[in-house]
Amino acid sequence: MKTHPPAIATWLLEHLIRRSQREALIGDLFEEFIRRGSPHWYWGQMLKAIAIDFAHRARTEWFAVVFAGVWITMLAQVWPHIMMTLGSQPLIWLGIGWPWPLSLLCYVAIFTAATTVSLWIGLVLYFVLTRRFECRSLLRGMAVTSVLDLAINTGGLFFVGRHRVGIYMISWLPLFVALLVSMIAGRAVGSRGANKSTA
Amino acid sequence: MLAVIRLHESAYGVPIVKEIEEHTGREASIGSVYATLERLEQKCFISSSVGESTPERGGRAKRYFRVTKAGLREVSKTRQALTKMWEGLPILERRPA
Repeated sequence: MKTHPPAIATWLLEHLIRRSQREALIGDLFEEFIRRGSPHWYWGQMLKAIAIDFAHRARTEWFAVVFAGVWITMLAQVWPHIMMTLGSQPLIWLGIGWPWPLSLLCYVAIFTAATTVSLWIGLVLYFVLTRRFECRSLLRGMAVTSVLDLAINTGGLFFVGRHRVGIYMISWLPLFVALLVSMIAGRAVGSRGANKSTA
Repeated sequence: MLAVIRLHESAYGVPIVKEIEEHTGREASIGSVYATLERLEQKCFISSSVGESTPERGGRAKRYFRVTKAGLREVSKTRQALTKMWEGLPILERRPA
């Protein structure tokens, strides 16, 4: 029987759950894991806890939801111009001109870099507007954005396939979710003193 | 809230989940229980305090929950309302189709 829960799952809990619940919740999961000894159960509980926590925060932090929606809508409008500007760079065509699959990887890398930077700008603007501009919050938000954006683009590449990448790229919903999660994850670091007992 | 009342002084995450599972026969995740407890705490129906940290919890502290007077009043009101709603109803049994 395993005596330690999966470290990655615990790390995610430590970084994505609000401070007010983090300590007790992870302790409870640890205690129950020792009894059950099932990493599968632990991962399932971790995913549920993070999803519930984010759903709660999305309900209470309506400004983040509205801001992410507005930012992604604006981004979708200016995106053709950004891609045209990028397309006029000879260095990019050099990469895309490589044989498959290098050309595809290069295309996805360029797309991922462009979307990530666009989401980062949105993230910075959000922290400025909410007056929560802390270095730690911003860095965490940016890190979460990068990981999610890479996962979204790699997932899109995997599921949609080589010839239908164009269809995937007009889907902005995953990027909306990525931006919202990044903003909330960043704010989780910034919100201090939330773990005080009420007793 | 009933699970917290039943557990008295030892009401923290793990026993609360077990209590709910035993009495309802349904699986409850620790995350959803904490979300519910947080809502109840915001409504001042329960209060919480941080307890001791033990090695079997990876050195992390427990969070104990207790029902407040307002919470007990609310539970009592809900019970009365449910009792009234059930009054006069026949025993509901699933009949074969």
